[in-house]
Amino acid sequence: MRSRLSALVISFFQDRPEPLHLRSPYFRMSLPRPASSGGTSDFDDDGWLDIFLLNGGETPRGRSEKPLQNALYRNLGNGKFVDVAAQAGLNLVKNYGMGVAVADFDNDGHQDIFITGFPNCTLYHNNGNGTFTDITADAGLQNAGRWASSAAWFDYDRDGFLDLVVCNYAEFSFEGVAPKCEYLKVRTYCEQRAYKGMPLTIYHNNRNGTFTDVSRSSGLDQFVGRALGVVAIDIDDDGWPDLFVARDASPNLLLLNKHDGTFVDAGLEAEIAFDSNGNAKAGMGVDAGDLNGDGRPDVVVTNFNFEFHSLFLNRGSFPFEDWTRASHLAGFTRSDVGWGVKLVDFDNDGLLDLIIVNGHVIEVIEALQSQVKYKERPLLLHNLGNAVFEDVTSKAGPAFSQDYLARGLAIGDLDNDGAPDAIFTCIGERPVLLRNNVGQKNSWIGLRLVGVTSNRDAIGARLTLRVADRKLVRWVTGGSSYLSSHDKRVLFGLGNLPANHPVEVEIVWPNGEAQIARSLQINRYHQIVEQVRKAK
Amino acid sequence: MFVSFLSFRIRTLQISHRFGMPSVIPLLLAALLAAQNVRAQNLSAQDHASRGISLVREGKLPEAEQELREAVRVGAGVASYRAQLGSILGLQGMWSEALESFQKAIDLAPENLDFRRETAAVQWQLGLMSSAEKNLQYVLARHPDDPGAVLLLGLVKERNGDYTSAAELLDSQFELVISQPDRTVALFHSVVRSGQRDKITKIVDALKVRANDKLWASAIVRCAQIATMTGDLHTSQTLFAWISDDNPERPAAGVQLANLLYSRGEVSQAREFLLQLAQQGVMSADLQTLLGNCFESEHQPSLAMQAYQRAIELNPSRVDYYEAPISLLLDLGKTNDALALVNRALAIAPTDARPWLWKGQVDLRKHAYKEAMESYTRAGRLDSSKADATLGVAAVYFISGQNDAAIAHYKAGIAQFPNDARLYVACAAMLLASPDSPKLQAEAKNLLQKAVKLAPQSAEAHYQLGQLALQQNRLKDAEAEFSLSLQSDPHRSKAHFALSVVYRRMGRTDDATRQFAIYQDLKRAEESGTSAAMTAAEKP
Repeated sequence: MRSRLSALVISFFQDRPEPLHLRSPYFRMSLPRPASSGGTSDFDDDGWLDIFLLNGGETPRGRSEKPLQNALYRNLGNGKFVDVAAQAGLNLVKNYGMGVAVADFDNDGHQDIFITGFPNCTLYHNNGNGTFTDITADAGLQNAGRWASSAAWFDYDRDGFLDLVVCNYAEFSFEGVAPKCEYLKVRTYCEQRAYKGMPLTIYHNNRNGTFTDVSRSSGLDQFVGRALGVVAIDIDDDGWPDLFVARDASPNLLLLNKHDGTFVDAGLEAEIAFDSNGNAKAGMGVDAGDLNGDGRPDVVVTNFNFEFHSLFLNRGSFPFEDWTRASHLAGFTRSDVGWGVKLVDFDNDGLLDLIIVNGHVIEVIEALQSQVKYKERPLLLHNLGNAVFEDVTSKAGPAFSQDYLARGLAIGDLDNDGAPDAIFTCIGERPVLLRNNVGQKNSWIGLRLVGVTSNRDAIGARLTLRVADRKLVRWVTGGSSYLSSHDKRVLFGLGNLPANHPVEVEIVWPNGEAQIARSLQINRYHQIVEQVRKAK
Repeated sequence: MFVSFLSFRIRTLQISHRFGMPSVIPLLLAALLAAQNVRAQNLSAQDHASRGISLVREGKLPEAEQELREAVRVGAGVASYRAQLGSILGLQGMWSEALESFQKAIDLAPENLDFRRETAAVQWQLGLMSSAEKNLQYVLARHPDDPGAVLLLGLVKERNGDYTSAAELLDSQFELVISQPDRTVALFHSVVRSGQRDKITKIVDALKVRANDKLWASAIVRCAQIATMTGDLHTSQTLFAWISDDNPERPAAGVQLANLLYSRGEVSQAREFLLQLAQQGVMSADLQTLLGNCFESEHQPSLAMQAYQRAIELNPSRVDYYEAPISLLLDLGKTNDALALVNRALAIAPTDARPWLWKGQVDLRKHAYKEAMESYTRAGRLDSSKADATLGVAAVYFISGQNDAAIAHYKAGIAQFPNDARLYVACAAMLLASPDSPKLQAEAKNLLQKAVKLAPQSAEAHYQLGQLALQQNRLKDAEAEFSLSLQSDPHRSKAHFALSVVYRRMGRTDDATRQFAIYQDLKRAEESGTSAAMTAAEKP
């Protein structure tokens, strides 16, 4: 395996076409940590993933010389993008923007956009004609007065309509006295505990374009902390979506769905809440997927430097196994402050790899800690099997040899070649768009699921592909990474499987119904529509 | 018997003996007065001896000594004169000469049990316990019920640390013991140390009767201090209540008692007690420092700081009192104030290593690593007998992210200070925290086992051994190690957390929940200190 890989030329390259030149001013002295973000989704239903980039915003002490704009880059399908934000009605920065969660919440076949931020969130309904309408107030999704970070769409009650969980970071006010901290006489963010955490918010989809805040009845309002990242996935394999919440100097949460509209935290039982000394790490980004091929979702969380990013293996019972050191993740991430993270099979060999973007928060950190940098390299970690990684960053192309203040990371196959591409945002700099030049060299198959009785995006579906003696399991997850939204199509890497080898995939839809898609041709995308069983 | 003269002796001779010292003087005096009945061997010598005894009764000891010396000169072969001279020398605190005189008396009359007993008394006074015990055993072999010998042997046993025997012997002569403060203290000490709590009440009751007797004031203070030192809070509080406000030993005893309360976790009680003492006019830097500790424990940093400042004002030239406020200021994030105080300490004691160690801590907190390295290096030069500076230098390496250098420095420190467990523990903890820790577990375990040998009470060593066991899922071992860690440091939040993990894995949910709740309480308290620091740091 190792020798085969060494022969591979891994050459992601950084593409900076002029249309992607996006000024991304970020007033980091006003808000700690989080930055602007992005999401990939096919907003115009033309079969090509588009890119929505969210800007931060102005604060009373941080004014921009030019008007701040969001951007919606329409994918022209020829490797070029054009910003259509103004035509779409998405260009205005209404709040201090934080994160993006994209999904078809009303099952009308069009991708809607939920924007998190401070002091309000915004829900844009996709009108299906290239324009969007701000329906936040009517929908009841302002999340008013809260400083929202990541959010995830998921159907917690399996009623076929997507609900929404919002991570709230901390109590905050532009009017209040902000804590002041400095290193070497340079103003910087204070330690996390200077900011009082907030509970999560969860909104139930009323199926009529409105939402009800069910934080109290669900039990989620009791989990007060500094939440930054969330992924919705069925952790305990009971067919109902659970939540893994990464929190900053607050214990991580593993919220198990109790099937009755409530959740219970199993973070302690799973041993994912704290480190071994009882300290809550600085959890930022999170993603989940099967890293060791046992069919269960494992979890990766990005943390602060010297904490190591965490990898928890799901062995089918609690506790999870802390695989951080055994995977070599500890060694690779010791000096990094990590944010966006995605489990993605970049070379389509059938094993989920890791892309992590990093960047410190203290400007003078290099004067303080000789082994830590302010701007940091992203990481590309190749899975050698059994969730043990090798660092292939240095072979991944010029974009991976540069340092960034990266934050959000979104994944999607922008050119439909079966190789997942990536985009990440940086503080005060252009976003970085990475085209994958490796994945298409192996066989692959892509599936776009369309729910019928399940939610149309099929968020919560579990897909199992069996080929030879291998079983590949993937999920359509809600949320994940940090502040970002991703391609909902599911890609399976098939290694050197011959092109004429058909495969079949078992799909367990979010409503629990199983369906098998047979004789699927590889190296192309397939749309699978949920079969609705007729009532007897 | 000579014991009948005891009360007479105290009142007529007005011999002032300092607390805890010549418990044997009454024995000597009694023997001396009893000796007047010795039949005269030489008329002239007897005259001198009789005159000497009369002078003793009048409290004129030097004159009495002269008479007895004359008696010895004239009647050189008479053992009793030598014994009487020995007694008078003893009464004047001339113990070595007294012993010489008694030894000569025994040489002349080896079977005289009184001489043996009195010699033993002097030997006890001189700390010659085995010789004293030999003489007493000689007496008791012939008269097993000799009260004086039993009493003296009890005192010897107490001095030798054989508290069980001492308590038994002294208690058998209880009336004799409680007639005299020093003996009562000795019995109390023996009883407390040997854990014979049932006998404490009896002694305390006896002391209660004498609580208003000024001659017993020191004994009561001493017993209160013994109770405090041995952790008997109830007895200590009872006895302390009988110490009069004007007793000069009361402040020190009070601070000791408050310290016991504090160490028992009765912080509010300790604080109130100290405030009462302060209101009563007790001016003590130790009191103010302990009061500051109390306020710190109660998360009242500004009151703590005021108390620490009062301690410094009361004794500005002693650098010991600077440590707590510097530490608090660092906790509060007030590094500039901490540095100012460090500089004051350095001005007072520039060649004392401790202020340089404190400066190293402040430098570290200010992220001034170069200066921290210099401070610790200087502290090491000033006091190369301790590993503190080595630990500080390694901490600089660690905090600045140079883990390999830190580990190397710890290892060099171990070579230099092979008996300092802290270095082994710190080095092992660093190995276990490294990304490659699975490969380093054996080395870390070896270091930790050495640390435990050097310092069996090391809470951190046991904690790290527990973590090693937990990583290997040896749950019983982990439980044992974490429990040992908590025995040494019950407030170690991370050990409670780790124990909760062990219990949860064992399926002992209730125990896990209890440990986790303790962890949460402790952690909340730790973090509220930091929050207070942050709030304080906001202020201009």
